[in-house]
Amino acid sequence: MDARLRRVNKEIADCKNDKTSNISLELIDNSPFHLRGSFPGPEDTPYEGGHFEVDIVIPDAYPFQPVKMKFITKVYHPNVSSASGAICLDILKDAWSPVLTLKSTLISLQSLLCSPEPNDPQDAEVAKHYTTSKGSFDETARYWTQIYAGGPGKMEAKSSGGSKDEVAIAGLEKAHVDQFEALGFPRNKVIDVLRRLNYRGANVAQISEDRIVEELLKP
Amino acid sequence: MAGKNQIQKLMAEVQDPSDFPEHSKSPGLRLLDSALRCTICSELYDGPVTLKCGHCFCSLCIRQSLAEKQECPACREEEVSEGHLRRNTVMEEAVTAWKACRPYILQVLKDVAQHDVASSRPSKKRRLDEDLYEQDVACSSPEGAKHPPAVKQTGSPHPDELVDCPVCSKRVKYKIINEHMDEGCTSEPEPDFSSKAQWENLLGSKSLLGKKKKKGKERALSEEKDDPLPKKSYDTLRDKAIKALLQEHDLSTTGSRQMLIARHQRWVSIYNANLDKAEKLRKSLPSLRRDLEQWETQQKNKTKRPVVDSDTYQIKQKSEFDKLVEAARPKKPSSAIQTTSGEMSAAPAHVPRSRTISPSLAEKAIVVDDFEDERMEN
Repeated sequence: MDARLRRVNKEIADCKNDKTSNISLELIDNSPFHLRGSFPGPEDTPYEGGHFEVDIVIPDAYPFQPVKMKFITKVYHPNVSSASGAICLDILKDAWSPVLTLKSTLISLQSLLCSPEPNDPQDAEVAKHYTTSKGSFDETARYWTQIYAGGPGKMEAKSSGGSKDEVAIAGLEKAHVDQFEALGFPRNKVIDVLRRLNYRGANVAQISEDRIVEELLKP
Repeated sequence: MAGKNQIQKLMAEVQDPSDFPEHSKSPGLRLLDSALRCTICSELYDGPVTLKCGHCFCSLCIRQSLAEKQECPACREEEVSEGHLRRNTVMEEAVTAWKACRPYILQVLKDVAQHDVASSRPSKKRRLDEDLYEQDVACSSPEGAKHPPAVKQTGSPHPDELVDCPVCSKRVKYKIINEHMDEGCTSEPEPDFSSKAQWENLLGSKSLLGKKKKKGKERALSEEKDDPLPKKSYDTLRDKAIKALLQEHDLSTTGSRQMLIARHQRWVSIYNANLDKAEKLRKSLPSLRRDLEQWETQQKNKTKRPVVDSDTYQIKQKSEFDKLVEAARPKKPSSAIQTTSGEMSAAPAHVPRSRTISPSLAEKAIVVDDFEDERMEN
């Protein structure tokens, strides 16, 4: 058995034996080098109550090369790509050290959810949302936790239509979307443009309606 | 579930600190076991060396790590290099002793736990332990029986105590007597440990000095043998020179230049790491060569073979490609780029927002508009 396999076995065993950290690892297929890790969303954050799953691929040169991790669960976070789940975290790149383990790395991801780093974003749009209107960002992050990570939420939000509320997912005001949709633009396009321009919170006052219409008219 | 069985199977093969009961039941044992383990490979230290910051790793582990990045993996102290490595002989001795007594302690703990269920009288428990100890000695070392006086006096010699080898009658540490005999009595006992040398040391006798002088030449030779191999700057060497380097150590000279370099680098690492072990624990050169071969076959299995025939590859992988294209299509073009070119190929299960793309654009799948420019994907 080579050293990499021995070490990974120990790390899996370590996670199984540790009941306090709430971090779990399981195999995705029959290879011990492709795992699914999961952890609960940290308390006192918009991610509280959610259950977050991470896809883990252990490279050939592990532990001398960092593990490859990305979120399986969709997360609304400045350092996580809202589309692909790719994670921007130094220890997964050049700050990796061979003494780090799967458990410690997953704990780092958990703490990344506690303390976003919007100055080094993975998802620039989400980061903009975070820096300009924190309250609205928290709401959207909570909404994502609720619909994608099984987090608790207001019952009315869940019952409002069987389908997921695209406006809430984009972190926008329903009134704003309705306003431009009434002008005859397709709803999807309105959501897209408003999200791109970060038409949220205090930013609303700074973006003229003409500018939005201009964007909407672009092919 | 297949996954769960697999995990249990994997875990059964693992030897780690959790073999011991938790702190409340057997204080310190778990901590001791983890303290004697390298934090890189999580095995008991093999040729432990210390960096200038005081952190200790297996020699081969830290050499591999330093090849990637010149910092201490534990505290990130910078500007450390292989030159800073110092052998940690005390740790090595501790690990050797721990390796010898670990299975015994586990057995005792198991028996105590069983015994506790039946009866909890401490006096009897103690008797049982003693019985076990003798039993253990008897079965683990048949040589012990050949030395009844030594065994009877102390129960069993201390691992570091010197005993007479029954074959060559040299004085050898009890803990390595088995290895010593397995190797055909070739390993020399450390001179300082022979009682004669110890006395001579104490008395500062002249005979020893004379001996030293006489052995001067031999000593020089053996020291030369113990010198670590220097690192080479392969860029300045021709293929022929690299092959010569390999030949010097009876290593294979087949394969591409890249393979030759990798082979020599690995050889230097394992050779030097071997020198960081106590002389008695070192591997022979042939067995180092076997290790190297093993490593090389592992590397071969690991590295993905480059696609030679791209046409057949495309046909073979068509269903996979189609799946990816399908997964990427209803999404924003940016995520299509990510999923097809990124390291992770699985597409996210949910699509956060849909957007109508004209069919001609969707066909191309890779569309960049001003929105993409704003998006920073590092």
